[in-house]
Amino acid sequence: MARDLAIDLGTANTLVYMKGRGIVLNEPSVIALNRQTGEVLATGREAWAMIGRTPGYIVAVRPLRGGAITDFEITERMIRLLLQRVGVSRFTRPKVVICVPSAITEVERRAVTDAARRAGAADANLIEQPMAAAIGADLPIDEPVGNMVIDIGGGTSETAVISLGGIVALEAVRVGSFDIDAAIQNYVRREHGIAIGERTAEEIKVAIGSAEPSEEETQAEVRGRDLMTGLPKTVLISPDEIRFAIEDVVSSIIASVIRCLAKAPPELSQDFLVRGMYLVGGGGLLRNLAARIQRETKVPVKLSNVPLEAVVLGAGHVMEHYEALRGMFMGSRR
Amino acid sequence: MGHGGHTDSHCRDRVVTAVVIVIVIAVVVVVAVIVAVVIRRRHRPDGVAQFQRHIDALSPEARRPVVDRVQRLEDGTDGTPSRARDQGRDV
Repeated sequence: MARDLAIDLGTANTLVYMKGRGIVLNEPSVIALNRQTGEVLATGREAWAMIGRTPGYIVAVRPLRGGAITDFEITERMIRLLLQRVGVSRFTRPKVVICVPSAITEVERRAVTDAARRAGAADANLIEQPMAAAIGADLPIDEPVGNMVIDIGGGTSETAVISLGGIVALEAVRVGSFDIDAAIQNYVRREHGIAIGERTAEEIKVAIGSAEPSEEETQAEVRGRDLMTGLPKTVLISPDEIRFAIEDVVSSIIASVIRCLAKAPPELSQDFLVRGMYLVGGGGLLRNLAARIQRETKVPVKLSNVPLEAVVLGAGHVMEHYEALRGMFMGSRR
Repeated sequence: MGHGGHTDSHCRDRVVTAVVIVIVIAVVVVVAVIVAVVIRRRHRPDGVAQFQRHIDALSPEARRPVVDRVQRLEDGTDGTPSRARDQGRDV
């Protein structure tokens, strides 16, 4: 008999929680395929290492964008392979709970559940990411107080106000840390005339990217291909430049947080001033992003202790209490 | 005369039988409907109990195993975890 699973099917990473055991898989949501035969060559970390470095006949792709499936067949194959890694076979079909952004459409939701069922799940239910994140971040959402969680993922950013086990206000935008990487790529191409890959852009973001200036800042050496000559070239880029490059993305995330605050009932708004907001998701790790949100909203912001795992841990908890928490599944609102 | 009386009583018997059959069918249908309603009510959880179960499943006690896993993720500390009101990194 297969153990039931909770899956955080993220644009950037896929995490799997096994009932009674905890997190058993944490891999990038990437699959490498042979372009000619359609054969899968690698998934997860191995496939991620191939991005932008493959010969013509191999393609390493992320089958999810903005939290939604862009290629159904490839996503199904990726989920099947990841489930096989955690022991799911043709004869052991587990129930699964999958975390998805609340912003996805009905059609996109059905695509996720269908992909999971075809990949080997006996039953697939969906749960909204901010709700799972709030449970995983151990916010006291069972109490009649305002809890606010900001989940910044690879392709989406969602802010939710939660009280008494339900979502009171929600705001989601299809902007995430991949958009920050893309903004860096575009800036370097436009201002320095060199082409860089998405992995290099991510490395720049991690090395010198920030949402607010800090005292100790250093420049970074960026290597890419000169667009004029086609030769390899190195340029120096400052944190100021990166802040300028990513400003539009950061501003749109903060604007959605402010919209969510404006939607919250006044009784809960006062709780935020005392309790603060919690930041989860890989995008929340951008340097000084929490400080910038705090400055613009005048509400304290705390970074969760487990920003990358909060969503899957929350979904795992829902799986552990499957019957009692069925009402949290998308489409089963009472 | 005797022949006519026999026919009358035969007709009356048939009417009585038909009425009895209709009554029996009606009683069976009513009983079946009542049983179905009772069963449905018994299967539908009471709203208050259902909500309480939902809230209980989100309580600190119910979440203890997940919180313990969070603690383990954070470099293996074994201390009793407290709720997020005391957690998180201030900025």
